[in-house]
Amino acid sequence: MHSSRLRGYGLYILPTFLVLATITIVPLFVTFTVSLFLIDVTSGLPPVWQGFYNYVSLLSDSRFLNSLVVTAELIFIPVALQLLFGLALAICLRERLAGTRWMRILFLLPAVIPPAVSGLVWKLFVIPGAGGLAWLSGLLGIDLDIDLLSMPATALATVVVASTWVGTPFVALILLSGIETIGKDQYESATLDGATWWQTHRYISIPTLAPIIRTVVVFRILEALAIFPIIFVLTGGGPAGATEPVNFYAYVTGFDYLQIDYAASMIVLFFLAMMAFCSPFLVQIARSAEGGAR
Amino acid sequence: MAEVSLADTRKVFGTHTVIPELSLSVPDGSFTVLVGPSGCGKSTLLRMIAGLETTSGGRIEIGGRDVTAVTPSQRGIAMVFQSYALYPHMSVRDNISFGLRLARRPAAEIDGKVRRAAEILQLEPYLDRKPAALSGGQRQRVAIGRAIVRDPGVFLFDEPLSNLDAALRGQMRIELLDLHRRLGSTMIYVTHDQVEAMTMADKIVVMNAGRIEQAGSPLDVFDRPQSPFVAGFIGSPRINFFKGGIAESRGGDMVAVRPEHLRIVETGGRWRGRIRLLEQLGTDTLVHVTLTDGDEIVIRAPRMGPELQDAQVAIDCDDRHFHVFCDGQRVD
Ligand SMILES: Nc1ncnc2c1ncn2[C@@H]1O[C@H](COP(=O)(O)OP(=O)(O)OP(=O)(O)O)[C@@H](O)[C@H]1O
Ligand SMILES: [Mg+2]
Repeated sequence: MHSSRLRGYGLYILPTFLVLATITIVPLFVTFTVSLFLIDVTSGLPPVWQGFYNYVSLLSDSRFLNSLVVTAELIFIPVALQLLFGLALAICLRERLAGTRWMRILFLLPAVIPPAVSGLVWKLFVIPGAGGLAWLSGLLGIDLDIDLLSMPATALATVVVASTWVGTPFVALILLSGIETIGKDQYESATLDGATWWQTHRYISIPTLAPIIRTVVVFRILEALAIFPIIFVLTGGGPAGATEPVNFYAYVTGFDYLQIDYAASMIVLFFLAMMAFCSPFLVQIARSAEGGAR
Repeated sequence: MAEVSLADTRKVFGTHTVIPELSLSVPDGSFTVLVGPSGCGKSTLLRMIAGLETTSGGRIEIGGRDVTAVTPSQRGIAMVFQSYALYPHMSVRDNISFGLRLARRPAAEIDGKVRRAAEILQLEPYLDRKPAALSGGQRQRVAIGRAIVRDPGVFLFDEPLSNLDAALRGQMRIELLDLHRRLGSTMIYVTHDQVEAMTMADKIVVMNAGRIEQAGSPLDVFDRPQSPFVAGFIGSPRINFFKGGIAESRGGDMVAVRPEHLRIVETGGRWRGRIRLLEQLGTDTLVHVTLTDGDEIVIRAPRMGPELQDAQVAIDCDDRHFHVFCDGQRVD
């Protein structure tokens, strides 16, 4: 009885499973295989087995180690900022502060613009002497004539800002839909109990949103690497690798330096690291979803 | 312990006047029920007393203090919402103690107050549960517990029982009255259910379109309705209205007689008609009669058999049971 029921479900799941396997598991497997061979695409020689040689080399490749640090910075700083601004915006939108009605539409803009275009927009914005930033600082009477993208720290900051700008609307809209499920009575009741504006949100909004926040953060982390096009347009990974995350380094290695096997090994290592980091959260989300369904 | 008084209070939303001008005094320790049809402004009035709505004009005093401009938490009131407004992520204990914890009361005091409220409301076994794991009646008690620990001078209730089923509603009605006797605080209770109003109130305030139609003890309002609106709103089944000659002969333009004061008689009688429908209530029977002039009336008669369906009957009532109205006002 039990097993036949499982078989029944299996039948429904099969098509989805096959599609997912084709687009995720198969490429991963191919990538892993590629990383174990020495492949020279320029000479046309057949692949030579080299085992885990690439992985050992990676561990002493300072550019790779640097790209790991940059990756961590480009994931965690923007996601933290997205959460902070997203939450603040969601609360402002909920309270219908003056002029926020429009914002719901304006908000979606950064989320629907293709990332490459966003990169371009920001690049134009920070162009020294001619961009929007120079114009704005001119209004404030500051003569800002530096190229933000030419120095490691400011280049990284610019990428962080652009990436926060791209991701915040999504976070804000998801949190807003969560916050709108909280009844007006709950806030009023807290007001009667003497809660200040800050306390109502600290003790009611945020705890109620906690499960949504957790889910959003995990998805933003997984999504954070989608800033690839932004980096491509904005900084090209420079200066001196200051804005070069792992996927960008892998891209350059594979398609510019044509070391496909080495690039593949980076991707595999990075995939494993991401899975190790995110799977506890994903398991927890799946669990609570199951609990909620019951 | 506090009396509440409203003087010329007004409420306007944009261009829409909800409460034109209203004065009301709620005596200290009373159980006052605001009753009226949907949309007449009961909740708005209650929320103005709570401070959740600003007043567009007039004064509100609680315990002799002008609170018109005082923030809700400083008014010495507690409010129980129809939706209970519990915090789903907090245990019952944390829900009840939320306000005390915000005010940073000492732990021993918080514990004592929560325990006392839980004992009054028989919530002790549930203190560590989340609201989702409680029944409707228990959630309602938690909401009341949250009000009790604030030691308010005035409790405000906005239709607190309307989410409960009929049996539980009856039980909670009694529990609320017990609570009122035990605490002795002033309670203002909003409902659109006139049975709730009659059974619970020591003072009924009947509202209509933002105005007070009549205020007084339940029996006074029932026995001497000051307007046709009050006569029609209080009492179930609804009072019967008659116009024409019978009203004019009594010096008014409309008379009303409660269904229980009409009698089916053998001979004579003021009205004649045909029995259209018999509703059996067990002890009594509601007899729906179509009068010869086409009016429909209801009579509450001692139990009578179904064979009377479609019978021609004569109906009478004593002179003293007539409520006479002229231009929407009671005439005596
Ligand atoms: N925030 C608001 N803005 C505009 N109009 C409002 C607002 N709140 C209430 N009203 C209006 O005020 C009137 C009275 O509303 P209120 O909620 O006080 O009625 P009520 O007597 O409590 O009715 P019910 O028995 O249905 O709860 C209604 O016509 C309503 O549409
Ligand atoms: Mg209401």
